Amino acid sequence: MSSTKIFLKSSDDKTFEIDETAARASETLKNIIDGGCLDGVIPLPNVSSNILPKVIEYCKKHGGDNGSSKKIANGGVDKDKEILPDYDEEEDKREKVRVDELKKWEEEYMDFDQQVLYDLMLAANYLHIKGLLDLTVEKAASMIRGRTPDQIRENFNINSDFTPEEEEEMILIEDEWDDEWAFD
Amino acid sequence: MEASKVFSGEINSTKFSGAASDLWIVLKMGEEALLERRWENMDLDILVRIFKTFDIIELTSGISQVCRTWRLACCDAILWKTLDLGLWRSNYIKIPAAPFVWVSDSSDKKLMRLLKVALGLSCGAVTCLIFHFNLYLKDEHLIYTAERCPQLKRLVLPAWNRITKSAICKAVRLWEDLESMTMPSIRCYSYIMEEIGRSCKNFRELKLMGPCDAVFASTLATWLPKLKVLSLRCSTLERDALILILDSLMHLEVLNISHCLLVEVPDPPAPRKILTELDETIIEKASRLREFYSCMDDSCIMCQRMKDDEGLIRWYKYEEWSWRVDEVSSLSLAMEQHGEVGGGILQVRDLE
Repeated sequence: MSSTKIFLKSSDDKTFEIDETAARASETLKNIIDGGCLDGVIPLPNVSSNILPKVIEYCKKHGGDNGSSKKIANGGVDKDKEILPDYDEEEDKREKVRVDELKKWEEEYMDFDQQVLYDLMLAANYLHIKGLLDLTVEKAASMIRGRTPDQIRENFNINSDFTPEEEEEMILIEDEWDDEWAFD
Repeated sequence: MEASKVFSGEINSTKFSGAASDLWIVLKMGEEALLERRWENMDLDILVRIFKTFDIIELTSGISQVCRTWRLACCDAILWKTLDLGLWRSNYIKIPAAPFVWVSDSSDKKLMRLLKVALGLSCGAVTCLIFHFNLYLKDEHLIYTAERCPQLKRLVLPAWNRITKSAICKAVRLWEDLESMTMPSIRCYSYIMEEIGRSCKNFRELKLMGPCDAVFASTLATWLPKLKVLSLRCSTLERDALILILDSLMHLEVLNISHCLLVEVPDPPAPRKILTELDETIIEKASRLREFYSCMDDSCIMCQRMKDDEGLIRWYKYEEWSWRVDEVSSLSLAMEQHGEVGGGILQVRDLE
């Protein structure tokens, strides 16, 4: 069974191929496809060739659905199923295996540094791929949670651009805040 | 020369020196010019989306101090619609005379600091403000807050021990948009209800955390006759007060008297009588309400607690979230900002 191929052109003029079903994981691409104004190649001026293959990899994995493993897991073990007469235990098991496999895939897929995270986030936002955006937001949040400003700057390679006066003011605030309850 | 200024912080930390640092700057500049992928320049909407997953502690103490752009994203109105200070209680001791609590000086100072940082970032966007029932504000805290929350619609302030009449009235005058308030039982209600009735044209919802007598009910009837939603859950409720509420608040649509200790107060010296069920008069009068919640069930844990505590529920003895619950959905306080992220337990901190 073959599906229609779509061609995507990155900001640096490289062309990538993707199945239409996979491309539909992106709301933006879906609208272009459904809008019928498909002229061979879809130019993506905001996505570089460094990150586009990574985006395509995600779309391929998620085909038509837009959720991450979490949402699928919730849907997969739907309580309502138990009261359905044709409730299929085998089906449920297969679903669990699928969700576990997807989680493992996500874990490996999400193993990258903050620069890739940055690009992937922007791409997911631009292409409206909600599942991917959720995943990247979650990863960024995990790099922030429970950390001091210095640690956060280190994680994201950020330079503090506050003036010395502002810095001083914030240090004063921090001093008055007992670390015990600011960060425990 | 500009470049070395910009990157001076990082050079120091990586211990480059002289020519090596210059080269490093050039490389770094080149990389930046080429890619412009710096988190300082990240799309604000995306940053806000990330920051939405954090509570006020992380926002105020860590994230907002990273850099200017992140600070700006921390000021987004979406993050501050609800300012939930239900995570903090004062460092206090109960005392036998008014105001019945003593709060340490450092605790008061810390609360002020917390308000300054949080309200500074909020840029006036707060519409819902929640305080813990053991967070004892002073007038200065309340006024400082009121002046910086001009758009407030909902106030949850269950402890008024140290707040003066003039301060709460001044605050209410600043909150013209106020629609909903959760408050404790106080000695005299008329001044506050009068002020709300006069200043807050859209006021519609009240929750009382404490005993409810006929004086309270008649004050409501006088000053807030257009009240739509009233919750008295877990209060000692005089039957006369209930009848008065049902008779005189003609616009009332939703009433919650769940787990109330319903009492009849005859002329002295006869003792008050605890009623075990709603009589027909009450049921008939309540039938016109859109939603009427009541629970007087011996097997109900909240009803049992009301009895054990002799009609004055001691929230501190129970689950940290229990005081936040209400059968009326618009009065129940969302929990997602707390606990869920940090492991499911609502951890309230003392402002020591």
